[in-house]
Parts: sequence; structure tokens; C-alpha cells
Amino acid sequence: MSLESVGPIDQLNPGTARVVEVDGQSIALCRLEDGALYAIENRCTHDDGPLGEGELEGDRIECPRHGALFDVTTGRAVTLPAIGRVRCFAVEVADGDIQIDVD
Amino acid sequence: MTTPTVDAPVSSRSEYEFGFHDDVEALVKLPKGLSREVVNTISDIKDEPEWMRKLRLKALDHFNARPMPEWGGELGDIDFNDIHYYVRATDRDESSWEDVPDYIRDTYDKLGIPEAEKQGLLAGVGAQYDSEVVYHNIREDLEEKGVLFLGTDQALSEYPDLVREYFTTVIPPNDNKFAALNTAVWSGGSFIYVPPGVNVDIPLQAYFRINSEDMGQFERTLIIADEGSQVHYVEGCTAPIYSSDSLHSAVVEIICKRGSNVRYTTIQNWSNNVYNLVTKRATAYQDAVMTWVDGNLGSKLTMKYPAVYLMEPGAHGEVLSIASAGQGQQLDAGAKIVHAAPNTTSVITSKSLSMDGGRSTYRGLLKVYDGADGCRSNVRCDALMLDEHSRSDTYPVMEIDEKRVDIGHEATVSKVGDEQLFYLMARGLSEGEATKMIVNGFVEPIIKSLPLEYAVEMNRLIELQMDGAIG
Amino acid sequence: MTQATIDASVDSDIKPDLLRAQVTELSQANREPDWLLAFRLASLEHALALDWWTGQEESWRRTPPNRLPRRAILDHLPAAANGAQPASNGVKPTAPQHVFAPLNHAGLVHQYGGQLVASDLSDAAAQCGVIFQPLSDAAREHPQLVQRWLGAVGPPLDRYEAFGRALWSQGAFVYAPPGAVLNDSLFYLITQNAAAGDQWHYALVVADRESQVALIDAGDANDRRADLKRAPLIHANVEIIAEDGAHLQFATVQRWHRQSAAISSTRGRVGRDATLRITAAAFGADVDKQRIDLDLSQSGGHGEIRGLFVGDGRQHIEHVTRQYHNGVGATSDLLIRGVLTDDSQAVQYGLIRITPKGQQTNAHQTMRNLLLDDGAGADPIPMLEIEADDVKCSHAAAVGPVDPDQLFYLQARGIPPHIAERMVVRGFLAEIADGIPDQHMRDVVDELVEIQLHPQQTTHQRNGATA
Repeated sequence: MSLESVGPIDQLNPGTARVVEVDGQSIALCRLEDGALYAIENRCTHDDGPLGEGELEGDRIECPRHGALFDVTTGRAVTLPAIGRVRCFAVEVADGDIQIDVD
Repeated sequence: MTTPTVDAPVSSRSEYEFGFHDDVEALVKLPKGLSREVVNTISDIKDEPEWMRKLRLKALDHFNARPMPEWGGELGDIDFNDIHYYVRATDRDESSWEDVPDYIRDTYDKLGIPEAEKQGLLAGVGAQYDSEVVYHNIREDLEEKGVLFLGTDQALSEYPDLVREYFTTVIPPNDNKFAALNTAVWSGGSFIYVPPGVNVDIPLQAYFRINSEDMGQFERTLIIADEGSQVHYVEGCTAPIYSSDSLHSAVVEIICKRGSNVRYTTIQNWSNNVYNLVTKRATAYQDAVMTWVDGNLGSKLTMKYPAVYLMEPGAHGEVLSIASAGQGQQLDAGAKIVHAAPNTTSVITSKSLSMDGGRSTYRGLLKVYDGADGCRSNVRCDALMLDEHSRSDTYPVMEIDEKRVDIGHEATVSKVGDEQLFYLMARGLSEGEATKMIVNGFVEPIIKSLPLEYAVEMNRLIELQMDGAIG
Repeated sequence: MTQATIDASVDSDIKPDLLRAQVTELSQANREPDWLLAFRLASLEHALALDWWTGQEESWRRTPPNRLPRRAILDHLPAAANGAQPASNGVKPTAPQHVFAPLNHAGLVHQYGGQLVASDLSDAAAQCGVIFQPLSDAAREHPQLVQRWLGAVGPPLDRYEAFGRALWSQGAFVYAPPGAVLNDSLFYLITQNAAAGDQWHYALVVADRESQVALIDAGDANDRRADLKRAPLIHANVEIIAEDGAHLQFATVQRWHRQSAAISSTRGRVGRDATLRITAAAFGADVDKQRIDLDLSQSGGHGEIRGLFVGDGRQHIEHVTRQYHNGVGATSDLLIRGVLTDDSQAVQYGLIRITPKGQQTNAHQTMRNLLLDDGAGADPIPMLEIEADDVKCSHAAAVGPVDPDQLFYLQARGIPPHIAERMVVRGFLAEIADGIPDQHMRDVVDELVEIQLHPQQTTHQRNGATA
């Protein structure tokens, strides 16, 4: 387990997502309205679209390229045109700092 | 109200027999142009749930944000501000032809729809006139078994949860520019639900008619075939010939659950002033069979690639496509099959004709995901050129990420063979007759997959087009 | 040899003034005539005015964005003193023997790191007036011929090709005069000095009327195992003219350093009743993107494109081909056969374009990809754009594993599975390999197929490349 810090939690508003890079891995970091944090691979399984640049609604994020929806809590593709799930990464907050484990 | 009038044809398809239009005052006709206000008004008129309004407005943003596709046909001439996005001729969706306004019924009489229903050739009929469904009826015994066949608007008001569960799960609002447009302003279309194990033994038919000038028709069709059920849906489309262009941009979503069998047949015969930009996609789960039979004869420009996503083992997808492009027409049609699960199979058969300066294009995608082993797919595209002024293009894309597959693609382009012509003419046929006979033979593999009366109709339409082309 | 600092990034900014100065220095070091320097500089300006690919273009969508550099750098410039050795006929190769070097040949030009290391021309070739020498030398010694044909295939199709016409540091010129007939093949060998960075090659091949000539263009690397800090870009422009009635065969075989990013543009123009066959065999490089274009605008011309490759590791092997029929009654055929192991990927964009002038065209394409491992993948995309009606046109594409029936047949005869598979694969590739015009080269290709398929089982790998 190796946690990498990606920035303070108070700079990520609830209901938004942001793209961060950890160990060369691009990650969509999502903070739900209820404050829960999830980190998924920033790459749509349909056409490699940057998921973290899409709109987060509830626990679903919409790929900005073709509108596929992913469940950020499980990585599962909820609608076509995506089929495969995206990787999920462990994420936690320590001293107000968001930390992601990419291993 | 008024009698239909036949306009002077603006194209060489002087035989286009559905070119008449009804001179009627629409009940509701929104001013031309697309805005949040127009979208809100459509939603208000339909008195629909709030989630649908939000979805529409979001889709409008997507539509505005997405660039126009730069491939396929020339789309730059479409003026989105010169289109009526909603035109309603009557305020009722009737289940008896007697109750449909006379002038609309006349239209469908001319198209032969009530007659076919009367003769028992159809299990149900739907008719859409401009933006709204004006007629829907289904055989009683099927209704008793729980089959739903109604306008999508009606379905949304009567079965909101069912619609919400599936709506946009196959084609999300942001799938492409025209799917976004449809999601923003959709109106009409068919909603079909077939309960588990129910077999709808003869086709359900929907008939789409654009009557108004500068009109956009954006029907939205959703078909859910529950486990082990079977259904065949047929749609036909015509429009009057106007000197300005109309836009038809439909979205069709189909879910084929385990063991179901769905066939969707289109006989597209829009007049030559219609842009026909349609997104059609189906998902097929375990052992389900999804077949698209797609006949394209009309329109100025068609861009349509019916898709099947094979989601679970044993699913089978099939696309049978026929396109016949005459003067001033560009038919960019094709198929997409995505093998997302092992042991899935697919067949694409495409036949296209180009004549009288027309351009027909096959554009296809065959994708096999890594892990979808044991897939088999066969793609066959043939194009026939009837004269030297026409054009035929073939753009098949294959993306294969799995080794244990059997994928084959073949295509040919040729003209009507001199030897064949000579042979037939030596037996007393004129050149025109001989050519028609050869063309008939060329399209036969697709035609024979149609129900008899549609096969006859399809052949007749191709012959009419050829009469225009080869005189 | 002056060595620029090597920077590890893939793409890099273009420095126009530096390039102008370097091109001028290069041209002068090679003692090129003024018109050739002018040609280089004009091409450079043309290139500077163009843009790099973005990945949005249809034929670039599948190219890995970070593995084919968008850069134009001259990493090494030959010093004037040891730069251009004049080609002298009859000189036996003085450089270390190249593994691809032939036993018998009609002529040989061998270059390494921008230097000529060997050249030779057989008496038979010399007697019928064949010219085969480095391009700079040919421009000096046969200015009318070179000037007439250089760039005659048309303006550059993209920025790489335009830079290629400006920046080349090694090149060759082949000319077969009218009626010349050579029985043996000409060999143009290039040994990549992997450590020296990017390379730009330029070959001009002209078969004049009724001549018959075959050229083998073979590329290898000096040290295939070196771990390079930056992936070298290897660019090649090949311009091929088959004049009326000529029969020209061109076969290119590459085994560049495995970290290389190779991009080439091979453009052939086929005259009336002429025949041109282009065979391309790819083994090396990390990315190899080959653009092959056949211009068939004269009646009775016949063109063939044949591709063969064996991919391993995470290689990306891409063919972008065009069979352009703009004249009556020409024929063409494309046949690509590839084998993909490990996680290697192949892409084939093949376009048959028939203009309204291309009546009575007969054009075909076939793409076959064998996938041997789970990670391998192939995207064959055969396209047809047809604007004439009296044509016969077809394409076929297939992707799949080794035919289990064939394996079963061999195994039933007692052949172990891994050998049976190799036999089927070699049989699959034989149709292309057998079309290479020289027996020695066919043997080399056979060997390279073996090495690429089973590196652990051959003893030849260490003999791979010398120089």
C-alpha cells in the first residue's frame, strides 16, 4: 500500500470531479454531494474519453465524449456505448489531504 | 378540411407517389428555431415529468456544444434555425381510424395502412403525423397478454417508471450530435413492451409521415423484449415533396433480454428533400437474437448505422441493409456490431445500388472486445453501379482485440454484367427489363427476409427508382 | 560527425533557422549541386508551413499518440571530410558484412549513419547503363536525370514527407535506361546507427521504358539490443517511377532497432502497360507506419502492394495504402498478411479510389491477420471509393487464430503443436515472401520470420546485425 497525496480536500467541492495524476496513472477523483470520495481510472472504456472532465450527477459520471455513464462507486458502465468497467482506486483523507493508492 | 394536393415534383423521382401534402392549419406549430424556450414549451405541452424536462435541457446543451460531424454527407446546409421543432395537427392519439381527422386518415388510406390492418396482416398499427402520434391500436389478444404498443409520449404518462428505467440507457443523450438533438426535442415514436414468453406472431407496424414544410420530426422509439419473447416491428416513412428541406432525426433504443427475438424492419421512402439522420441501437443479452432489416430508398441524405451490442454469450446480431441511391441522393448507411461477450455471432449483409448520379455508401464497424472469444462474424457488402455518373463507397472498420475469433469481411463493387444483359436480351427482354431482373437478383438475399407484402413493396419501389434512372 | 544533444521527449519544437542552416551545411558537405540545395530548402519551407498530425485525422486515429514523434531534428551531420565518398563502380564492400547483403547482385549501395560504406555495380548492370549510387552523388553526376524525376510523384502528402525531402542525410538513386534488363537485384542497404538518433532517408527509383529491374531496400540496426534514451525516428521517402512498359519490383525489408519509430512514404507511379510491385516486410521498430501509394493513371498499368509482418511485444504495425485509379483499364492488387504475437497491434487502412476516368479498372484488396496471442489485435479497414461503373472491385479482410483444422491435420501426422503452428504461419506468409524478387532475400525474410516468432529457439539472433 502506497498512498500518494493529491491535494487538500477543501479544494474539491462536493458534487464535482477532477483529474489528478498519480504515478503516471490518470485518475478521475470524484466527490459526491454527500462528501464521499471515489477515485476511478480517467479513461472511458468505450473511446478513452477523460471521465474526470465529465459531469458528476449523484454517483454517476458522464463521459464527455459520447455520454456513457459510469457508477463511480463500482467503476461499472451503466449505459452504452461503454461496456467494460473502469478501475477503482482506494482513496482516503488524512489531515485534510486526499490520498490515493494506485497499487 | 381540405383535399390533399400533389406538388410539382422537384426531383427526377417523378414517380415518387407519396409527394402530396395536406393543406391544413396545424393545431400547434412552434415558431422556427431551437432554444431553451422551445424545449421548455415542448415539455410543457406534453406535461411530462420533471426528470424528462431536465434531460431535454441537458441534451440541448450537448447538442449546442458538439461540433457537426465532418464525415459522411454534407450537413453544413442544414439550417437549424429554419426548422419547426414541434408541429401538432390533432390533439388526440386515437385507437380507431373513425376518430382520426378525415384528412389525416385520407393520407394513411392512400398509404394503405388501415386496409392492411383490416385484413389482419398486422398485430398492431401506429401512425405518426408530424410531431405527434395520431393513431395506435393493438390486437386485443395481445393486449390481454400484456403487450404494450403505444406512443412514447403516452407511455411516459401511463408507465413513467418503465420508460425511465430504459430511456437513454442504450443511446445516451450525448452519444452524438443528432441523438442529443432528438433527446432535446423528441416527440412521438413507439413504445413497445413484450412480456416474458409472449410471441407477437405477426408484425406491429408504425407509419411515420411528415406533412408540414420546414419540419423536423424527432420520434423516439423504445422497444423492450422481455425474456423469451418475440416481436417484429415494421416502420415506413414518407413525406411530401417541398422545395425546402426537412429534417428527420430519430432515436431507436431496443433491449433484447435473454432468449428474446426482435426484428426491426424499416422501409425508408422519404421524399428527396429530407435529411434522415437516425441513431438506432440494440442490446442483445444471452441467446437473444436482434435483426435490423434496413431498406433505404428515399431522402436527400441518410446517415444511419443500425447497431447491435452483443452483451452476453450466445447473443446473435444481424443487419440486412439495402440502399438504392438515385439522383441527388446520398445514402450513407451501414451497420455496427459490437461483440462484448464470448460465443456471440453476427452477420452483416449489405446491398447497395447507385444510379443516376446517386451516391451510396456502406459504413460499418465490427468490434470484438478482448475476452470475447469464440465470436464469429461474417460481413458481406456488395454494390452495383448502374451508370458512370454514380458513386459507391465502402468503409468497413474492423477492430479485433481477441484472437479466438472467426472474422471475415468481403465486399465487391461491379456493374450490371454485359454477359448477363446479353443473355437476357437474347431471350427477348429489353435492356431495361433485363437490368431490372439483374437488380432483382442482386437484392434478393435481403428482400427475401422481408414479409411477403413488404418484399413486394420494396421491389416495386426499387423498380420505380430505376424507371426514373434508366428511363 | 557532430552530435546534437539528445532530449528524451517524444515531440519537439521545430527550430526553422537552425534547420535552414543545417540543411545548407548538409547539402554542401555532400557536395550537392545548387539546384538540389534549392529543392531541399523549398521542401523545408513547404514543411514548415504544414502542421503535424493531431490524431483526429481518419488515417491517424489509430496511431499511438506518444510513440510516433512529431519532430524534425537533424541529429547528425556528416563532416565534409569523410562525407560523400564518390561511388566508384567495382569497389567491393569495405564495411563489415551486412547480414542482409546478397551473394549475387547487380549492384549494391550500403550506407551507415549517413556515410557510404560500400558500393558496387555489376558489369552487366554497368553495360546496360544502369545507374545506382547515393542520391547526392547522382545529383552531381547525372543532374538532368535526377532533376527530372525528383519529386515527380507529386507534392508531399504531409509534413513528414515534406521534411523528408529537405532533411535526408542518406539516399540512393536508381535508374534503368530504356530497354535495360537486369537478371539480378540491386541492393540498397541501410544500417541504422541506433545511438545516433533520428534518420531521414530518400530513395528515387526510375525504371525507364521497357526496362526490367528489381531493387531490394533493406534496413537493419547496428545494435538491436542497445537501450536508447530516446526512441529514434526513422523516416523514409521512396519515390518510384515505372515508365511505359517497364517492369519494376521494389521490396523493402526492415528490422530497425526495436525502440525506433519508423514512418515511411512509398509512392509509385505506374506508366502505360507498366508493372510495379511493391513488397514491404516489417519486423523491427516499436511503431512502423508505412504509407504506400500507387498512382495508376495510365491505361494497362498494373500495380501490386504486398505487405508482410510479424509483430511481437507491443509493436504497432500500420499500413496506409492507396490504389489510385485515374486512368482507363489499369489493374491493381493489394495483399497484406500479418502475424501478431504478444500484445502487438496491426492497423491497415487500404483505399481503392477509382475516379470517373478509371473505367475498366480491376482492383482488389485482401488483408489477413493471424492473431497468435491473447493480447494481440488487428484493425483491418479496407475502403472503396468508386466513381466509375465499368469496374471490378473487391476487398476481403479476415482476422482470426491459426486455422485449427490445419493444426489438427499436422498434429495427426505426429508433428508437435508448436512446430505445427510455425509451419502453418510460415505457409500463411509464404504467399508474400515468395514474391520477393531475390532468393537470398527470401531466405533472409524466412529467417527473420523465424526469429520474430521464436526468439529463444534460434541461434541466429546474435548474427542479427553487424556493421
